[in-house]
Amino acid sequence: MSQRSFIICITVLALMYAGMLEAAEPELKYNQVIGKIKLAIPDDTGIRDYLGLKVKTGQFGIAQIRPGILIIQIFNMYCPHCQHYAPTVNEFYKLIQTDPRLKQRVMLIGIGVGNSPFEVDIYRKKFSVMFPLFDDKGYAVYNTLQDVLTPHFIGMTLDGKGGYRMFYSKNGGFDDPAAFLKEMIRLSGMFPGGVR
Amino acid sequence: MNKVSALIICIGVLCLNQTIFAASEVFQGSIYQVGPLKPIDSVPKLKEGDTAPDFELPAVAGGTVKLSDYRDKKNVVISFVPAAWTPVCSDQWPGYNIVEDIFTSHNAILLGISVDNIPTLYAWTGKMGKLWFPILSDFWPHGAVADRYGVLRSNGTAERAIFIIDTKGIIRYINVNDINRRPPLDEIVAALKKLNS
Repeated sequence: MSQRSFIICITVLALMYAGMLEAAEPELKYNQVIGKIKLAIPDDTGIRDYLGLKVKTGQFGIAQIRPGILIIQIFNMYCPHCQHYAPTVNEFYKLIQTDPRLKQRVMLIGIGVGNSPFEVDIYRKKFSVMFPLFDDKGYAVYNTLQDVLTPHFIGMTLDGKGGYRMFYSKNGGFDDPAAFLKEMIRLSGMFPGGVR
Repeated sequence: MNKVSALIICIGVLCLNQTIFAASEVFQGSIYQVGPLKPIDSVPKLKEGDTAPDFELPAVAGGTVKLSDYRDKKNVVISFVPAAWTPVCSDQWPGYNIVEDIFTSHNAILLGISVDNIPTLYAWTGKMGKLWFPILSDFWPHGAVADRYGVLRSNGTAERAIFIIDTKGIIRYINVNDINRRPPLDEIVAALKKLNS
């Protein structure tokens, strides 16, 4: 390799890296990779029905979930803020489930990045979490999202045919479940007239 | 080093610039990124079945904690972590903080030990919420307890290690974990169950 080629290669790599950092700035940076996430199909029939999953074993992709709004909480059993916000997230779920219109079209799941099924189960029981939680024992989800900090919330709409549109992705929890729900509904654009 | 090698290293660095651990938003901007480390960098000095070396260390909450004070009373789980304000460590003890009931049900106390000094540990663990277990400083003589337990790394930090000591002071479980990863809680709980079986 000539001196000139070497310098060009290094420059290109540096620009690529700078580009990666630049691309990492927008809030919806996970839009490109969220579709790659695979989760284990739950044994629980109720959870499969909740997510509209037809198959009973193996894995499913996020985009295979039934049409509607999907809110994903990226959490970690070991994360103090996830623990702190757990009751608030439960309240958020309760608001969805107690509204007949939202219950049909809005789903909430949690993914415990780097957590084993045992650790996720501890979190579920400790905080009485009623919505579906998935483990990520092998860090596959975490490595797909790379630099995600927990808790992190993702909002997306699903068309039920494998298509999706991410409309929200942010680190940190929320203090007002009703306000957060209202914001998710607004950003999703699925209820033009509002729901309340 | 020729230029091709340098180029390969550059690409390698870009590829390795991914963390393999989860990070909590509570520590955002406060964590010193150490990058991937040599998984284990110490020579074992103890084995299961050995009597646990006694120690007395200052606690963040004040006073000192002596291992032998738990003799004939409680099983002791010692969690050595490498250093404050680093990845993985910052997302380890907060997890143990929500499973006090599991430790209690196995008649066990947890002792968190780091080679950091008390003020550093005070600031760091303060971000974790109120911890139910003592946090001990093995700062001076630097890493002396970690050294006696064979978990002092060559750079003066401790390994990420778990020791479980029964009420008779006998070491019943040792896990010197890959420093880059958190020890699975599953294994700690399984070891505690075995202790009481």
